[in-house]
Amino acid sequence: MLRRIVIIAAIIGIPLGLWVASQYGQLQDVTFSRALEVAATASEGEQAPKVLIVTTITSLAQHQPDGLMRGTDREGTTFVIDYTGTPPEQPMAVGDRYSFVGHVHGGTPPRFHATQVYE
Amino acid sequence: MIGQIAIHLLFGMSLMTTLLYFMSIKTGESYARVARVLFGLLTIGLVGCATGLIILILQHRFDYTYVQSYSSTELPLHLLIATMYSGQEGSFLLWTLLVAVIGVGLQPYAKRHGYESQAMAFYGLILCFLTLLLVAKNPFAYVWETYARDGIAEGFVPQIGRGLNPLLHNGWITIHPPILFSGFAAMSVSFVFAMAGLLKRDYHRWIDVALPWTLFATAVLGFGIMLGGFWAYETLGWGGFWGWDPVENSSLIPWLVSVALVHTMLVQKRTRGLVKTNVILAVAAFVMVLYSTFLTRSGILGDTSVHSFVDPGKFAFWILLLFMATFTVLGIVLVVTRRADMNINREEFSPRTREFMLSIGASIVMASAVLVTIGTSWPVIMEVIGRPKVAVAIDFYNKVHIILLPAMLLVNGLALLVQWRSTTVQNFKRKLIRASAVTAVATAISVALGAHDAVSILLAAGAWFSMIINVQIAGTLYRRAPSMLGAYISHAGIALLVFGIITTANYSETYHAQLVQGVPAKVGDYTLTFEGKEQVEREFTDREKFEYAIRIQGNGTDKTVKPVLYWSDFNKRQSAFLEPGIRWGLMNDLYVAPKAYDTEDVLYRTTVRRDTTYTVPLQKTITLTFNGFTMPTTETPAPDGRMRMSALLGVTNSGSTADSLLRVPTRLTQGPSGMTFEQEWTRIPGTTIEVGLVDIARNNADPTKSTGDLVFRDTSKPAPVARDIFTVEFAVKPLISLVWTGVITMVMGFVFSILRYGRRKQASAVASDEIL
Repeated sequence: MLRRIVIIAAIIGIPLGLWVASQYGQLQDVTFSRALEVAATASEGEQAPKVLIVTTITSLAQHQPDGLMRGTDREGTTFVIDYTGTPPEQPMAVGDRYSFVGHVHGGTPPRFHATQVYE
Repeated sequence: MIGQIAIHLLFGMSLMTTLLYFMSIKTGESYARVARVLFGLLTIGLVGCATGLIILILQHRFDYTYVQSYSSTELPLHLLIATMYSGQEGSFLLWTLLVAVIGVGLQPYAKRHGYESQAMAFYGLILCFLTLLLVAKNPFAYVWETYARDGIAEGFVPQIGRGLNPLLHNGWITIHPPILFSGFAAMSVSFVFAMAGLLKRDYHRWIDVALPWTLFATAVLGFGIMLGGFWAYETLGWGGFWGWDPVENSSLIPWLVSVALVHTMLVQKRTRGLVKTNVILAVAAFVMVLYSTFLTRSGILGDTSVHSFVDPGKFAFWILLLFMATFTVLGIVLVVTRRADMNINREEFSPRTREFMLSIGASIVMASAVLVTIGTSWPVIMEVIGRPKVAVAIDFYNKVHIILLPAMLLVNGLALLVQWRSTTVQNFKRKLIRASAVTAVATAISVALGAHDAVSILLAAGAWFSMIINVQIAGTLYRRAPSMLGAYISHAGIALLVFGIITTANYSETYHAQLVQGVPAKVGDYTLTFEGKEQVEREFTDREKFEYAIRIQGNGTDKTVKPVLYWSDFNKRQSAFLEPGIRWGLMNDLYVAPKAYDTEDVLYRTTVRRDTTYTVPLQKTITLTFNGFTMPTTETPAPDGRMRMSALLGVTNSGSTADSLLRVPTRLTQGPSGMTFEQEWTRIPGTTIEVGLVDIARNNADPTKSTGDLVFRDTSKPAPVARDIFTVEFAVKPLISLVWTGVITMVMGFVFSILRYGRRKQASAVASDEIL
């Protein structure tokens, strides 16, 4: 009986645990202004929550005096992207669309610190 | 150079020790004798390496990469010593050293019980991997070797060290990591005894031999985890003691498995059942130590944690992976090959027995371990399936434990109401009704005292049920058999911990307050006064660290606490370092977490948008129309060489007929966190009022939507004095002392049990020696 209980609990519990984890392990797909709002809820000294922003590159890092890319989100808001993740296989180009994962840093202007990229 | 050679030699010695111990399994004493000597030399070598590293740190030998990366000349002695294990290489050395030191005690113990060759062979194999990790992450590498690709010349000696992360600058670093690593090291022992048992086809006696060590490992690791929580609460300033971070979880998972193992070992001791389960759990506890190490040290979690994980390099990554894979495969192979033997005498437990209840309890604890593992591994799982690497929200862990924790407490109580082997229904019913009645009354009192939500009531009921039964049994045993109190003390400790969690999670009151210096402010039931600040630790040149004196008055308290907030070059001043001020108390803690420090804005400030007209705050007859910004390229640089931009303002003064155009310049500075602006005061013609441009928010998509912040002052009046403002989060945390008391009580229970089983083991070993 004990053996049966443990086996049944494992068969039901592990997939259930994975499903519950998947509900809490999703990135918010947001716009830059929403990312700023999310970051505002984090207190000083605490890192802002990670978010995903679908971005169209408008200017590459080498064309900017501060060495940071520019991009627009789906609302058309332009923002600064500080990408520190692994370079994608194909070099990024103006007009390309990427899903950047990262968090917002305050300051003037605020910038999106992206650490992962998905095409 | 000597250090590097020593590390390689130690790896060779651990290989030889392992080989000789494995050979001694078949051939006997002669190989074991040599292996013993080698093991002793290996331990002495590791002590020598650790001592050598500490000496290099104390001598500020910055030609060594490790010393340069983690220490500096300003550090006090205790932090210099702690530097030895503050980096990845040093912490591997500490772990290896502790495994070897524990091995010195383990070897004669294992010999006494006839397990030496088998157990020490596996123990040596663990040391092989640990010393191999040291070869890959050698703490004695020179700067010019580490940074050879950057063209650092041989013999180059950096003049300064990078220093220790400011977050680690406190006394806890001298205690917490050594205790935690002792727990990790001790986790190896039950594993090697299980492996030895399998090799010897001795599936029961290893339980007796390994039980005191398993209790020791669980107690030490549990204590280490608690110290980590206490450190976070006392130092990090986020107000909690547990954040379900991967680093915290990586200690919790093996601890949970070990807790389950202790209980199933007890079942096997009494019934000779759960033979396979115990071997599997002993393997799992150790493998989870390795898996957790892999998760937190391989860099695989990336930036999904508040802790920073340094990528150890490919070689170390593969060694970590191989380390984990080797022992997992070894465990599985031995369990599978001995499966048939272990299935002999398998019996079913009746549900009304303690062995059944303890097995269910162990299963619930394992469920917790599995779910925490799933949560901690989530970024890796996501990466494997090609999704963005993201950690699960903390709520995941909290939600699953809302079910598991009351279940654990309930089963704990029930397990103590039933007997080993069989329990009469009458007896069980009588005890259950009595315990349930008292639990109902106690829970009702908790509800009357403020436990209103379902989760708190459920947890309180579970904790009361467990507490009542454990205290009742402990009371009975106190006179009759005090040596048997260990388990009941531990369980009562866990119930206390749960009470602490309920009160702090649900009934803490948190307030945000802006405290103006010298002005008492009513915050909740207390009065807080920011009395001033004082610079401390002036010897550190990377920071200006200030303590902010906050006086707390009210409810019989009059105490000044000193939270700390500062910025450091260590993290390029990207985020502040915070330390809370705490008024410790038995009934509640008053917790002041610093949030920000500012100077009062005494200038009148107005945000302006293009083509919009504003009234000057200091003189209502004057209006300004913002016409836009000039670009730095069209402006002459300031006398100090900085670039300038200007706001162009149309001025209309209803007191005079003439309108004018005003150019208000500001100086630009590019800082690490963006552009900063310093105003050049500009007089509004015909008035004593001056205007300055202090901020520009650029809109790159549409520059006409850019905004600016203007400030105003009247030069005919004395300048107002700006006061300091300290923003804090003030929290009243009721009965948080129960959390610490609970864990200490639990650890004390383990100590009782270790003494009990240790003494019994010694007595039986003496008895068997006498018989022989």
